Amino acid sequence: MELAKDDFAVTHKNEAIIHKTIKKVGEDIDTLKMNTAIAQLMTMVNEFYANGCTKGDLEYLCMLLSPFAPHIAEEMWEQLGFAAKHGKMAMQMPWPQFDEAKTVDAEREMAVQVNGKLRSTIIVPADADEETVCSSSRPSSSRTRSST
Amino acid sequence: MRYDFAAIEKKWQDRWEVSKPYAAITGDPRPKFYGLIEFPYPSGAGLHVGHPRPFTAIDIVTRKKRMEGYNVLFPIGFDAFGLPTENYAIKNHIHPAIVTKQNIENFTRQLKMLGYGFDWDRVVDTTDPTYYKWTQWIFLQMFKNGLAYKTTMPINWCPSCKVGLANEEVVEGVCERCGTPVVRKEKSQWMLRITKYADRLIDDLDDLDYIERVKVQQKNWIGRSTGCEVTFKTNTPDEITVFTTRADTLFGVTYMVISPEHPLLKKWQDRIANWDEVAAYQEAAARKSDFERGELNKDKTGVKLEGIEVINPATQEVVPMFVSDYVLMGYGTGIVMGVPGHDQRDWEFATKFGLPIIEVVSGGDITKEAFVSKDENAVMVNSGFLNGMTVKEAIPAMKAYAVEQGWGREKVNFKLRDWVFTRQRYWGEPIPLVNCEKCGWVPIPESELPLVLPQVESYEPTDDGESPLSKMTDWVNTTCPCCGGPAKRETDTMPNWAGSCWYFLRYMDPHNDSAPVSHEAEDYWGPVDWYNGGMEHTTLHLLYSRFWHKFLYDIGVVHTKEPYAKRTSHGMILGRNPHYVGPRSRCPSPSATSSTPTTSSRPTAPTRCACISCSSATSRRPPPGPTRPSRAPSASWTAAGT
Repeated sequence: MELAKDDFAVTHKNEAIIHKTIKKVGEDIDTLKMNTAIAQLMTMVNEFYANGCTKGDLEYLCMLLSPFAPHIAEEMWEQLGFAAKHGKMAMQMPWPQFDEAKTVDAEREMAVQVNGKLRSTIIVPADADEETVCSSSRPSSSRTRSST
Repeated sequence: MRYDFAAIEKKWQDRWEVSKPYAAITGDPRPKFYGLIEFPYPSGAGLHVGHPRPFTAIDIVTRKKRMEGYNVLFPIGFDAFGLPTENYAIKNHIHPAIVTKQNIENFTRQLKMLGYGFDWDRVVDTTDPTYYKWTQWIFLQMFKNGLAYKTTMPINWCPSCKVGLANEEVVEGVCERCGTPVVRKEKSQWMLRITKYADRLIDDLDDLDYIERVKVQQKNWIGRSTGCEVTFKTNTPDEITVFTTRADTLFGVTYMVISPEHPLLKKWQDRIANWDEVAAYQEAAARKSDFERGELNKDKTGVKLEGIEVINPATQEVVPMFVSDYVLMGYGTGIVMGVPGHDQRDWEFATKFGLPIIEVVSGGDITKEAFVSKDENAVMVNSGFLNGMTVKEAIPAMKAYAVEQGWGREKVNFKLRDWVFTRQRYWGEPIPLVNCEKCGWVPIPESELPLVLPQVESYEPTDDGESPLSKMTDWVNTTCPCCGGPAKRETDTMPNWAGSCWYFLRYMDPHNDSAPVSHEAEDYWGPVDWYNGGMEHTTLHLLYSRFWHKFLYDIGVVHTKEPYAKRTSHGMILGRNPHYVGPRSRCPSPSATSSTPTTSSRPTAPTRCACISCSSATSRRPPPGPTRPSRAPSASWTAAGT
């Protein structure tokens, strides 16, 4: 919580994982698959660590965590200032909505193989065409990571 | 950051206690959602892992529903009548009501510690007279509508424990608790006519969102089969009737079997040359439970009735008759026709007794096992006019022929038995009826409900198996509400399944003192949207409460035919927990019985979910598995329990 930036906006990089998580947790609760819902929340938190996060990102975490762990969710909610901001407990907030379009990753990781051997992986925009992908895969590309 | 859960959880629990974010509001304009869990039996041991598992699932679901804008009802209560509390009270000379109160306080404290989103202003306690007033009221409506009747039936009786035992409490002929040989004892019992609802309990499942295995188990338990009753002539003046779903195999009948309890045996005593042998067999059979005779009966036994002959109406051939305990008096007519070629039990019996095995359906090898297929390749042979037909064609053809000949008629049969609804115990709802010599059984006026349990000196049952209430002369002797003459109160109490049959309705309107539930509240909240609970309740509580609900629908108390729109079920948590108590060392304290009593026949002791009535009722549970053999339903719930 201390790591979160004091910003109520959602971090752009975290948008996809948040929307994916809203979708997945909601569906899993309806089918009593609590284990995979929790796993998804953990995945989201890991991305928050990797990408950095704002209070705005954690607002979603509190709401999504609330059905499973209401005590800690409310405590975080209050300490982050959302109780004061909304005048409500997290459990009293409307269940977050997801945007199907935003559940799609902005970027994809692709493997680059030469003669069947993995040479490197590249990260390209999810909607990149073939030409873009091919040019990104050349060694000169600045986005190439060498595989180990 | 350090998370001081002890302080933080307490802080929020205290706030929720005051601000009541879980309060359900009857009549609120938001859409309603009613999530239900099976309310616990408040044992002395407190919560165990079997409680939070199902509770948490619906807690999560209802919390999300609240955030989605629903007006949520997620209630909690206590199913508190039962044997463990009574046994604890006997041992420690404390009134069961006091023990119950203490246990409920402990359960409440623990449930609040877990932070569940229950509406604590709607708590029900089945032992509270303001609650069981309405349990008694519903029973009276059933009595007035002819669904409650008294009859005498044999039960398993432990002369040492002085208590009726369920079939599952009898292990190899001895009492599971103390090892004393169990006897069969005739006892007069109140029964509920659940069989009258058998068709509806099956047919209405179709529209419900229940997981499939629950539907299948209920259907198998009710066991509806459409078949044919066939009358056989004998060499006595008596005709006998059997029920069969396989009229097509009538040409393959090579013997008949009669149940050891069948009254014809006594009538035929003079005609049966080997009567002593038959009588000895009857006596031995009486010592076995139905369960042992049915499910566990691997080695077929029986005695031929010397001097009795039966004439097959299809062939006019004479076949012998046997008495065998694999035929139960309670199912069908208590007599079956033996078709060893096409029924595996009959095949085993015929093989053991050297009886002819005739093939009347081709396609299998009846020298190795019975051929039971009914598919297109199963074709009739050695069967007169049926020859060449498939089994599917031959069943109706034979039925039509039997009807035309006057010795058969179509018949629907059920495995389901009426429900034994009395226990000779103190800690249960008193049955609000009095017996008048002139007027018979008469309900007490509804204005006198609740009929409150009287204070007694001792909670122990009497030597002759009567309820401790029977010693309360002042309470027992009363006047008949009908003629004003002397009358006696019923001293048996209801089984601990009673209170849970309608508790979900009481949650909708828990403080109503003029009806079990108001129409307004029931219209708003009913039916339960999602009921999550244990598979072990499928053929007991879940079926019983559907039955009561249908009756309440018929008399206009509720507006839906079914109580629960959706049912999900978790399995039981397997493995021995720290509270495990072996079957022969079962301690009668509440702490020992809530979680794990089990029968020695099961290799792994399931950690009992202590939901509805589990504690004292584990023993009345049906055997596991989705199906039961057709001729010997395990009569677990017809056996009088404690």
